[in-house]
Amino acid sequence: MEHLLSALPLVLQWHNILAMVIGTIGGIAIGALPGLTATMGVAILLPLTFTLEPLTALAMVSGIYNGAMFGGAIPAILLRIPGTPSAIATTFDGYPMMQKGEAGKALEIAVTSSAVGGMVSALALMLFAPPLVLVALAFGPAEYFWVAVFGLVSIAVLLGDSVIKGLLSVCLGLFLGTVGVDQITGVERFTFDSMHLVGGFEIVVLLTGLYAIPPALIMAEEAARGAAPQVTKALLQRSTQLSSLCRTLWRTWTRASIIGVVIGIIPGAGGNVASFLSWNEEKRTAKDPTRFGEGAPEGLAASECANNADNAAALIPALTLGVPGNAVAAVILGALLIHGLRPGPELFTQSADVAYGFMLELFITSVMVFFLGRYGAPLFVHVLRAPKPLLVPMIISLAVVGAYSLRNSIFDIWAVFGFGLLGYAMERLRIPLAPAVIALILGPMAESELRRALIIGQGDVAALFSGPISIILVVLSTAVFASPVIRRVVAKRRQPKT
Amino acid sequence: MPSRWRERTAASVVIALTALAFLHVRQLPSDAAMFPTLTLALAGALAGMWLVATFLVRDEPAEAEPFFKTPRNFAIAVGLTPAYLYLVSEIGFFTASSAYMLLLAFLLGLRRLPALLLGTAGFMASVYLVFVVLFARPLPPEFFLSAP
Repeated sequence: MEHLLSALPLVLQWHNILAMVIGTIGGIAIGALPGLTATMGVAILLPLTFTLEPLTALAMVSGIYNGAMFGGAIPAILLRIPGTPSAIATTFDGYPMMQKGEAGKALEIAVTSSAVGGMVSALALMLFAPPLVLVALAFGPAEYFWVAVFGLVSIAVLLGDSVIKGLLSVCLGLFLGTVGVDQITGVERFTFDSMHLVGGFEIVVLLTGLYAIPPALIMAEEAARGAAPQVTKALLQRSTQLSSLCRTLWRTWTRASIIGVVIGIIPGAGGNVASFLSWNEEKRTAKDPTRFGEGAPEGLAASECANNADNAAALIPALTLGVPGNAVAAVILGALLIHGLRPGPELFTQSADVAYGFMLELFITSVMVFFLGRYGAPLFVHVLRAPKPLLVPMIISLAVVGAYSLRNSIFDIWAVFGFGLLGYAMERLRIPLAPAVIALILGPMAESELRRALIIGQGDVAALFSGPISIILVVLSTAVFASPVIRRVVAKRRQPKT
Repeated sequence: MPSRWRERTAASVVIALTALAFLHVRQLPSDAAMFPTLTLALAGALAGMWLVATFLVRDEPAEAEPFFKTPRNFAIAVGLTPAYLYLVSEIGFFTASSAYMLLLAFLLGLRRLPALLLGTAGFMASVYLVFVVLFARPLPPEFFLSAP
């Protein structure tokens, strides 16, 4: 508690508040544009934050994160086009509400539910992260290695349709993480005598390439398909009292927040999983389930609350153990590493102001989402009118700025484009991108801890399985890895015999 | 769904690249080679399983999604972008980006000249204000500002 109180005055400095406001507005605008994701927004704007103080940089990042998760609801409700993947379930009841002439009410419910979910998630982060850090103190090299393995296996299995493709994506990230000088022996690996590769690939270069370029190329392909959709202000008249919303939806918000927080903590299960599960659960427990999918306010509230409740919770394993809960958490982890802040107990002791300040910023930006989204929705709607042919070169130019800002290197710009083409091919082949990014972050840690554990055990592989925490993590990793097979077997047994 | 032949090609490419990477890893000391070897072995095995899986599934999906939704637009974007990246270092970021935005947007179908010009000018001004003035991020200098 004293850490939070000591961080509060720092967070409330004018430049941090300005960063949160700019980040939130930018995040809502990015989320409102179909094809752009929170991950992309944070990845592109990350180099912008290099010259900023860590707390100011994280203020902007937290604004983008929370803003984008709400922003995706705007086109989801108005046009049945989810602005972000986590807004897919929002279309189920949000769009039917718009069709019934209740667009203003739907946006009101979406912004309030998003704010509630975000605030609960930030509180969960404040409550659970510090105790989890104490658990992390019991972790040795073998345990950290298995934590990385568990994180990577979870993400590979839970994201995407195919375990093989998910693990291939992990291997790509792990391999890219070995490029450069080996941390322990100092030997150059896969540098091909190029000075540019001696330092390895920057996380931001990979992130920008994989997440910014493919959507731009896909948008270029879709540019041929018709004009920007038209939305009138008349649709956006607010008609609901806030107190009435709280009275009718507090049970929905409670259930959705719990689901969102739990899902957020599990690596690999992102906002879209949380919003689907929450919508399903709300429908299952409803007195009249037939209303869902036809414009039920509870369905919309459940989806939006859960996908924002996932946000800060995904940072719990990221900040404590260095295992990001989703792709955005991976980017944020990258941001922390760039500012010299390592996740784990050190972050909560030596950089306590930054760690606790960040949690407060996540809470405050959730509140900002409420005010900016509630009163600014008619303005954000105009973002939908931006012509795609103009957006494509804008995104690519921003990616160039971001990449060049890192090391003033033209090579990085070309690397972004190369990774962009790779990302496009991966998207077309249905190979998920997030495992590669997370593996690039976790790979060096996994390798160094593995080698450290083997050195301590004098080369004996049994040293990796010696502690109870290691055994638990191995069992969990195996269970997650086997879960698709188990699910198929259970589903087959449940099928009625003919 | 991607078509089977596309998946087989991709899996074969991954196997070939993995094999090439193995040749390089063999030259490294054993300590430094351990983790890349494990990673490449796993990648090769997974690519092999992927390839085998494409032969085990008999039915081709009824409508395999085309790899390029609009090949012409994709070719325009991918063809122009390397030229843009080259020009960024030769003539400067703002000059190259303005030309790129105008040309690419026009070729992708935006014919409203006021929107094109205003959008480009507004975007360049925003990038200059935010990245150069506010955050002091260096960008490749313009050719007309370089000393002779």
